[in-house]
Amino acid sequence: MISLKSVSHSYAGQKDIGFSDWQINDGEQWLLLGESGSGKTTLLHILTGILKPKQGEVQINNTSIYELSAKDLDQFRGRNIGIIFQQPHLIKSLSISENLVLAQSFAKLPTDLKRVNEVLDSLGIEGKKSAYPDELSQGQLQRVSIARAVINKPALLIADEPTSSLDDKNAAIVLELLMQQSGANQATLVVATHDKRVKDAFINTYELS
Amino acid sequence: MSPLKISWKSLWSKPLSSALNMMLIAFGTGILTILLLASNQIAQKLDNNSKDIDLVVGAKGSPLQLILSSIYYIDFPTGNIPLKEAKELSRSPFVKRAVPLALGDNYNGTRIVGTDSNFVAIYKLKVQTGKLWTKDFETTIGASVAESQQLKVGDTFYGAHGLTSNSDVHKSHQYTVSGILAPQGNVTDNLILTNIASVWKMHDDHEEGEAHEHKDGESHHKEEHGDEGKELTSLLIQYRSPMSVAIFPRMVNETTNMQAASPAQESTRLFSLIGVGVETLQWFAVLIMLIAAISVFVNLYNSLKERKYDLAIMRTLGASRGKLFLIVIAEGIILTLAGTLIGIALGHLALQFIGNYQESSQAKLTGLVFLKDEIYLFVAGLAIGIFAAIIPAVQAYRSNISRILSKN
Repeated sequence: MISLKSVSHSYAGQKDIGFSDWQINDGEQWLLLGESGSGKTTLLHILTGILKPKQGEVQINNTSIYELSAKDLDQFRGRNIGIIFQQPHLIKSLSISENLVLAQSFAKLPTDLKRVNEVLDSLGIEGKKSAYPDELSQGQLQRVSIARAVINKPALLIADEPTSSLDDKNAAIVLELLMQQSGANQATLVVATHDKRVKDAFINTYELS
Repeated sequence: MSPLKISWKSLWSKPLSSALNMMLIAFGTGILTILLLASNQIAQKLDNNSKDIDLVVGAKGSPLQLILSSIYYIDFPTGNIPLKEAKELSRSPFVKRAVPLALGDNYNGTRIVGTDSNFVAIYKLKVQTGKLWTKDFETTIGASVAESQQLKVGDTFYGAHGLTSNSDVHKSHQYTVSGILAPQGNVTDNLILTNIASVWKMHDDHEEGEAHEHKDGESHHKEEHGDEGKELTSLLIQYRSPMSVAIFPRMVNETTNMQAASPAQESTRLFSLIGVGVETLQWFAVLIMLIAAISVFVNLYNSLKERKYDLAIMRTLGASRGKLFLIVIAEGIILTLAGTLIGIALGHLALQFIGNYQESSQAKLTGLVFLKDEIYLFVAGLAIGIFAAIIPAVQAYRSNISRILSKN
């Protein structure tokens, strides 16, 4: 369970942005809607433990994440939160499977090549295992970034505008894969977007004003 | 996956700039290695050759030249000294041992030295095959000479006038190899030793005259008389006591027509002359290392700008700040350490190469010797790596990942 309680944040010299309380139950799939500049990215960063809010509390599976030490928070994030960005941002000097192993080792989990193969297989890119990011298409790269996000079976899967740089066909595929992966890994899914193509797929919506 | 492996992979992803940085470091370290090895070996050789010789007495002129010609056998002698005066000096109470030297001939560039058994004693020479020279025109040759000129015991050869040229060959007398010395690791490996009379006789033939009359088998009295016209090149002196240092050289310089030069003093002077060049080169190498350090820094700093998103992603994957710091600093250290190792290896290789093509066999250099001091080069490489990588690493450590990620 993930909960957001009376969270607000302000950047230096700017007005406070308040966020209404939010409770996400295990396995739910949520859409986070908001125009550019409405604080969508800020809220996502707060949820993923990379931006400490000025006020309020964020709990993920009964852990108040901003009460952890910096190092513990890094490790907690690595194990419990999977993030998918608008751009795939894979490490260029590492092969696809090495990028996934990297995620395992940063979370201080043992290298599990079986799991790597399993995840790549479920996303239909097992053939690209030894390829480097430069050799893959945009759609394939986005799949790899989904694979990297779910490799450690996180409790929370967060996607920030995962479809906005993709065409209709690939957007639909990526969205479907996200839903499917969050289901397969029993992860709670939050997709932040202003992409109208995505809206219909979700029942739960958290809207920023 | 360890930070080291991530750094390693990252370096391999931009091979050109990594190679350039490594080459710069390797070049600087290589020069320093060569200087270190060469100056060390030269100093050692200088010491080795003049180990038991306290003083050289020869004709007036440059003391350095006297030392160079009579200890290291590289320069021309300053002139000759009368045998009679040399003998008087040898009998001085300050002198424990005096070695007469008569230079002037060569065989294919190898110097022929006329001397006596004192030479064998002062250099502690041992014979490997054959025996020491006893009769006129018998020679005992150094180990390197036997090898390079392919001479065996029993072989004969003609000496040539002068110290290097082959043009004026003494056809009238033939030298015979009677023995080959065991390798000594000093200048005697490259000499042909014979008795003084042989050298004199070689040259008497040119003048064709009176000298012929004072041949072997003459009485002691006659020999005394024979000293009149005869000359030596120089005299190597071993003192009887340390006290001699204060008195004997001054006595030679003031009361005779000859000069006394101390090998230790002149070697130090010679080395300080070489030292200026060595020092210049050292600064040059240090400058190259400095440029290399700056280049590694710029490279890491620039790549950090490109990679800050990568590093932020690593943080979201669970990497701690410390880990990012390690990844960046390891890149700098891998670069410079690899460069240092390559540089040290290149330095040794280059010196070995130089040694192989060196003409003067007296001071042959080798790259196969390793010195303890090279560990300092290694430490310097490490320090440069840390120095160049510390600022980028601190930046990676401090980076605000939320800000980087939101500037998508």
